[in-house]
Amino acid sequence: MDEIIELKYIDKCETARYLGYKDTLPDVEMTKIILEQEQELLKVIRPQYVYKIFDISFEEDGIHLKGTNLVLKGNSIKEHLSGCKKAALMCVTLSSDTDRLLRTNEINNMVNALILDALANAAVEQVCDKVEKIIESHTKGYTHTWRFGVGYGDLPITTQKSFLDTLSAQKQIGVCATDSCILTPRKSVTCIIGLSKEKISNTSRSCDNCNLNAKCPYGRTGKCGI
Amino acid sequence: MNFNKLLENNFVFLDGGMGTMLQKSGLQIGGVPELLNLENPELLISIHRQYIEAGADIIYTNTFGANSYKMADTGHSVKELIEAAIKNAKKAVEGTDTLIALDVGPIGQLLEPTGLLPFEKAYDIFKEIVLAGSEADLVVFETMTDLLEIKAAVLAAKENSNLPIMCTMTFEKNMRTFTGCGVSNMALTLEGLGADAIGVNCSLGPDELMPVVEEMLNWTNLPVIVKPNAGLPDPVTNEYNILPDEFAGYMVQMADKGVKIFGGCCGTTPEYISAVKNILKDKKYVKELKEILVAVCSSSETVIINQPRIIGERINPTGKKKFKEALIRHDIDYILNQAIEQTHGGAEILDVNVGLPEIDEKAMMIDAVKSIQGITDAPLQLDSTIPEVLEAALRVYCGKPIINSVNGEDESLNNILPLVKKYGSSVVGLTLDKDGIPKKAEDRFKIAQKILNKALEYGIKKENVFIDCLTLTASAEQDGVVETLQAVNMVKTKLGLKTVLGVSNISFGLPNRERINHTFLALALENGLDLPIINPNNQSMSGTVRAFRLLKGIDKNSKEYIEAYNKEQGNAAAKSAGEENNNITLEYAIENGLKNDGARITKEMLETTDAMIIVNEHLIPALDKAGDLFEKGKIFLPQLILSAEVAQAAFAAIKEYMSSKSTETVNKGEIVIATVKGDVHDIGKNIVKVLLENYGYNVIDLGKDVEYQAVVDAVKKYNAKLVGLSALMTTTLVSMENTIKLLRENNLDCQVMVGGAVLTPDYAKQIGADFYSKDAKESVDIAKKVLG
Repeated sequence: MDEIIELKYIDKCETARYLGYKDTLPDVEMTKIILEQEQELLKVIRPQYVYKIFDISFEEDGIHLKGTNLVLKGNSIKEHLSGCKKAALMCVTLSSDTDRLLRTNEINNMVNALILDALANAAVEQVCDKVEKIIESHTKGYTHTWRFGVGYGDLPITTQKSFLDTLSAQKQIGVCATDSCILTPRKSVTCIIGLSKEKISNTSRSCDNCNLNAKCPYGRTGKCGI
Repeated sequence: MNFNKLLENNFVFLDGGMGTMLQKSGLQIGGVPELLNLENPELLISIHRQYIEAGADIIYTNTFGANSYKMADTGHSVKELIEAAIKNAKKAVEGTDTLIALDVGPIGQLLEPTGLLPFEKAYDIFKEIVLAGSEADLVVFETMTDLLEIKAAVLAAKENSNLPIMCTMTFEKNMRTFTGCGVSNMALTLEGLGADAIGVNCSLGPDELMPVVEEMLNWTNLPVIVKPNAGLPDPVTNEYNILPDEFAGYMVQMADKGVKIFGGCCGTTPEYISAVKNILKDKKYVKELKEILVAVCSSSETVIINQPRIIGERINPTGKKKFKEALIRHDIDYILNQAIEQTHGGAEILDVNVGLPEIDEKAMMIDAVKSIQGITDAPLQLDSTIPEVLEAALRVYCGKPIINSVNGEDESLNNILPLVKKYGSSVVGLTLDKDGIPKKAEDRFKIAQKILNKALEYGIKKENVFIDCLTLTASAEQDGVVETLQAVNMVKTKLGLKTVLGVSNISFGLPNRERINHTFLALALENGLDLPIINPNNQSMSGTVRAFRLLKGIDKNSKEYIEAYNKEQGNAAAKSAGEENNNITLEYAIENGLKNDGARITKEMLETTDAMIIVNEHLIPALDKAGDLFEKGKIFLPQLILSAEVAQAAFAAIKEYMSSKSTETVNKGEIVIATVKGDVHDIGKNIVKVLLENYGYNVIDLGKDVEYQAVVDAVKKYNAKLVGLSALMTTTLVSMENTIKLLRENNLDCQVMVGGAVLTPDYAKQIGADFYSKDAKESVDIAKKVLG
């Protein structure tokens, strides 16, 4: 892809939130471990991404992406993309070395593993933010919806495999799905952004349009990214 | 014409992009190109012909994704699609000398440990392809990024056909594949396995691939292949940015460096191939045989044996009670901890021996190799006396390992050396035979010579033979010490082979063993020892190797030495309260996450207090307190786990004490836990495990992606009264339900607790669980309820 993404730091507030800290901050000792593990993670992550932009049409059986076999089914995605003429499909990953670092720490240091897991979740969202900026720079004049994850709402998670094929994600960035549609390497994300020339309302995600609203484990801060 | 004959030619030309041509003809993005083999043979024949006319000596069949996984939903069998592809190719090559390569790409699912596909299953998938494609002239595995996957492919081809094999992998700008495989790792491994030509394809344009190709040429004398993309695609228009003439220009540079076989990948068309062929028509291929460095490797780490390298000896049950118990319990984590500890201690290669009469050594070896490779980059030395165990380990090992060992007896040589040859490993030869270990250095040298000659007869390269001249115990055979050192020296200087030596035996039966060990190590290094097998956790041993490297000028500017000893010791998680704070309690240590103090205080307490009193009156109340604080939101998960880890260290001290006193160990009951089939989200389950263990339960952890039956088997085997199941995806909840169903069908007297992000108490009840556990803390409450 056109631009290499590097992370120089990882969002510690988001990390703390993934760790279950709601309105408190981690204490000094914990912060020290988080900062140490941030450096360990930054050493191994190699953010990779791929995206493609398609013209879309709303058909009986779902949303069709021009030039592909992919059909996005369900009401949530229909609602999400309403008013859009195009959609960007993207996939990002922190790469398989991240998985290995997590595995190793799960064996001999669970605290570090837990923190690395949270840091990686924050990092992958940061990478998504950056890819979104890149897509924006190539689609001047369009308004963007928020990032709709594959499997979110009633868009079947079984879309994952054909979604990845459409992006040639294995060839481009080494991401595959398991039979249960789990992305591998683990710290990877697939999502859809609607592009519209008109003004649209759902440009940022809020807790109101989330179906986990009632049992949100992350303090309903409106920016969870799952 | 055949492939070997073709290689006698000057340069060899492959075809260009197939997908590119198909998309030009209107194939939809995400469509299945292999279906066209049946639906539109004329299109395929015409594309093949265009490449033949452009000058391709070899065309690839349209079978990149023709495997049982990717073709599952097409309604056609792999055999059907591949046979049709070959038929089309045969039609296209009629009347020419062009060869047909059976084209095989990655399966489309990642192998363990990143993905869930086991090596053995990958092998079966490739086997089916190879059998279906037997009519081709050769087979090519391309666009691979996982060294283990391409190893499975090469083995499948070797064992099920006689076709020549080309292998190309896909590298990124950082000279690695997506899975972290390096160029040297690929070359060492695939050449060892018997590939006929190796190289690179896809991902980048020829200019960016130049450094990758240069590196590849340094690591192999096989013909090298390049099949680059036509540069990089434009993110919006998808057009590639290098035109045929420019592409060909770069290929001239590649030819000058020593590349033999040329083609094109994504974005290239017949124009590119004819441009390359044309520009190289007056050039001559010059084969320059290079000396390849002696090295062993994993997928991502190459250890060059051009200086003393430490082999860690700790993964071996000999004389280790705890290790034996761990093997009997199938406690892989114990082995993994040994691996991590040793690499932190300075081990560059790890010896792996899991031989114990009470267990199935072969099954254990396979699990150990797979698991260790999942958490460390260090290459392994596979250590067993049983050839079947060694072969099983060699199959699943990713990279180029060392085999430990063969000796001078014919039976040993004839059993082991064929394996070394087939799997392309290195081998340790012990200088002993049926008469035992010769006393004199000259006689050990003779055995070394015999081993080398036999290896050469089997087609094993000289540099892959390492010799162990064997250390005798100084207290029993004092004169033997000098003989060993002299034998090392002779093997090194006269045979030019690398040498291995287990060091610690030297001091057996003597006081102050450490002093003897590191002095002997220094002497052996000076006599030419390359691969000391030592306990790297012992600072005086790894320190001796580091100091030797420094003093011999190998460690330039003392860089590594300073790095090793200037490191900050420990991190915040293992912090200690320090000397001024020596009277803290176990409770305080647990509450404040003081790992080292936790273990120290427990050891002190054990001198005066009964172990069970420490557990029941100190450890568990302290953990309960942390659990309460967590529940009330006063502390958070990382702090809870930090406390748990201190308790874990304290528990380890108690268990060690009890096992030394041979009294019964702490066990409040068995709990089987597993992340259900299809799910890979392991961390939640692992957190639960840490907490449960701290309360004295014996946790049998079956890992992730666990078969239903495996849970049932474990419950029966350990007579467990509680089972914990974890699932994180809606798609894997059904596995949870099925596991519970099978447990019930077997009428097992056990209760089931379930947990995971997508679960609710209602759903838990619906699928037949006895308990829903909302977090790790609650799983402890449930365990107390069920097991007390």
